[in-house]
Amino acid sequence: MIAFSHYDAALLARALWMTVVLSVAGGLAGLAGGTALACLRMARGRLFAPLRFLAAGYVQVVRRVPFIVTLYIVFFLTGMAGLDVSEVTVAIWAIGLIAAGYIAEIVHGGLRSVPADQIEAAVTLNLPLLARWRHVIVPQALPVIVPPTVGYLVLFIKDTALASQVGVLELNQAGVILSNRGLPTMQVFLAVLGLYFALSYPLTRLSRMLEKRLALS
Amino acid sequence: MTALHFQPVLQRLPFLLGGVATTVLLSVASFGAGLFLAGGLAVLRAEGPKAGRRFGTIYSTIMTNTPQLSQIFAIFYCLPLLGVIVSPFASVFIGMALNAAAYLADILTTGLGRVPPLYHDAAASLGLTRRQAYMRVIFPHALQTMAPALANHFQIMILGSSMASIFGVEDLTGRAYDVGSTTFRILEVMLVTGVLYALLSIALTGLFALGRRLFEGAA
Amino acid sequence: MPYLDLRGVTVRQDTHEILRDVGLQVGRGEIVSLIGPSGSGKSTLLRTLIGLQPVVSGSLTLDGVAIDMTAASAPRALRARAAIVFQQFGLFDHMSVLRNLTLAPTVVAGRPRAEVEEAARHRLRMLGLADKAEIRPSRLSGGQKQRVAIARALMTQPDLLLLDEPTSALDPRLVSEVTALLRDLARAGMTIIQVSHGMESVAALSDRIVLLEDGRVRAVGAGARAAAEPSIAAFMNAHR
Ligand SMILES: Nc1ncnc2c1ncn2[C@@H]1O[C@H](COP(=O)(O)OP(=O)(O)OP(=O)(O)O)[C@@H](O)[C@H]1O
Ligand SMILES: [Mg+2]
Repeated sequence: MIAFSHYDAALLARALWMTVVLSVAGGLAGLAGGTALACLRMARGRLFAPLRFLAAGYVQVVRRVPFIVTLYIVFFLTGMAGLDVSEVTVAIWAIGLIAAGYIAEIVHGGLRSVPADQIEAAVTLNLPLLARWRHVIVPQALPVIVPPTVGYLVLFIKDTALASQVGVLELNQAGVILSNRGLPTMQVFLAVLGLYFALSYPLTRLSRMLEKRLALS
Repeated sequence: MTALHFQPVLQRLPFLLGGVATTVLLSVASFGAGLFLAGGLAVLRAEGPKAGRRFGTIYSTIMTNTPQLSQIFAIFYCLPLLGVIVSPFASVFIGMALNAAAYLADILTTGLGRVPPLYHDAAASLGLTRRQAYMRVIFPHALQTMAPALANHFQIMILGSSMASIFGVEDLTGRAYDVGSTTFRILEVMLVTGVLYALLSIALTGLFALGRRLFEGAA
Repeated sequence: MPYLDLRGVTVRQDTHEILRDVGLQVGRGEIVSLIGPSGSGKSTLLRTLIGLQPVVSGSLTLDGVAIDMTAASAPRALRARAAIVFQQFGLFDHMSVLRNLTLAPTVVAGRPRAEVEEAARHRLRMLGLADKAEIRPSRLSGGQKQRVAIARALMTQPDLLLLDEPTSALDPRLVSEVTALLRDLARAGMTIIQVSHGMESVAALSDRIVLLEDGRVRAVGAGARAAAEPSIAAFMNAHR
């Protein structure tokens, strides 16, 4: 059995950092995309009808396709299109695309949870569109949106483990490498799982705490 | 950009559909096993000794906060060390079942919490043993109230089962990869595969809705 | 020797005694009404009689058979003879009315399903619920739920029937229906103990009235003049 050297530790640290980068960047991309999609779905008027339809369709489909398939599609699509993007960028795009689908659904649900009479009241007060959103819709929707969104970030962290499939050296892949190198398999995977847990669990707790706190107010 | 050619892929559609069967089999089997384990965990959490309750909660917390892929890797690599040699399919099945047990135990715990307390008394007053009460009254009620959440998790498991391809299982994704490497039309294969997963998922949604309608219509 | 002879029942919750040295003697086919202020322990007494409430002490002779209320075997022995109708009915909403009735006979007594279903349908027919067999209890009206709950209790073939406020959820017309049903059952030899707030029907229906107060038996009135016992009469007048 080979001992755990500081090279291995460095590998693990680098992989952990990569997992963090993928999660944060993918999550932010998903947040932006998801919010945009949700707003599109809320847009009124016939002019927006095709966009509304596309946004709803995207949300429906992307949540029914495995992440690994989305990842391959982005990977081979960029390759075929001759785009010179790194594997890391591919992984971030794929996470962002999936995350956008899930977050759009949450945001849309949150926006729709604002009672119609609230919006009507704002309209009858002659509040302009922007003020209606800023003072009436968003403040009431956020408590519904934020906790599950934070909870879903954990899901995206777990998805980053699949980025190894397009050649990104992240935490899970580091586990495979170290184990193949002859390090004690059990300890290696306990360490990997422990690091994932250390990233995810605080977010799970935060989500629960926000849910409780925001429900009170 | 070169043009897309779907013809070679569509010719191999029957082969891909065989993969769908494996995907469904793997998901159904691990859902079933996971639900069985989850039942035990949920009862442990509801009525077990203090140590048992803690174990149940900690198990779910750990399993739901770490990637399923890493869990399956751990099982895949560690089972042989324990002298257990099983097929890749079995490794993935075990990993998925253990993972599902954690999520489903959370769902069932919520479900048990929603069983009216009077049901326990009523079942006891009718002479049912604790075990009979759980099997005949408490679990059926919890399963029914939590049916949408359980169905939703089953859908998640269908998607998650695609990880099996990484371990060499010939599920839909695994076969898609095979077709990709023989036809060199990997992008087209993956697009078709994505559509197949979406269709499977939509079909399941329809099936669940139908089942619910029939079930509630009969009652 | 009375059909039911309960002695020295004490129930403790933490340090508080919910029932203190309660006794009760009932003849076969009698209808007993438990009355008393809220929190006096009426429901608790019913629950002890079906083995849902752990007791500190107490013994029971039921139809000549002695039961140690503190023994682990007491609940089983009690449930073999008695059945209860809860105030909130406790019907299982995730199964049909029919299955609610057949559950215990098939699962506990192990009787054949076909035979039990036959008996259950017969009983539903008797109670005017023939067309409700296949639906869920949640779709029934309050009065129908009440009758289904009674039917389910009777399916276990008890000779002691316990009812917690059987009429409190019903409108007046249904009250007289239920009291008529109870009277018929008693005439056929069923012993009935009910908790009641409907004082008119208590006076008319009961062979015996037991007034509980603060976990103790305050007074017992028996026979035709049961309601005339002074403290019972005073309580009933105050709660009319
Ligand atoms: N599970 C419990 N935990 C703690 N105290 C209880 C419990 N159940 C009953 N008690 C207490 O026991 C006492 C008797 O309650 P019980 O329900 O038997 O009264 P009751 O006579 O049926 O009253 P009501 O007419 O309001 O139904 C009350 O003081 C009540 O607070
Ligand atoms: Mg009561």
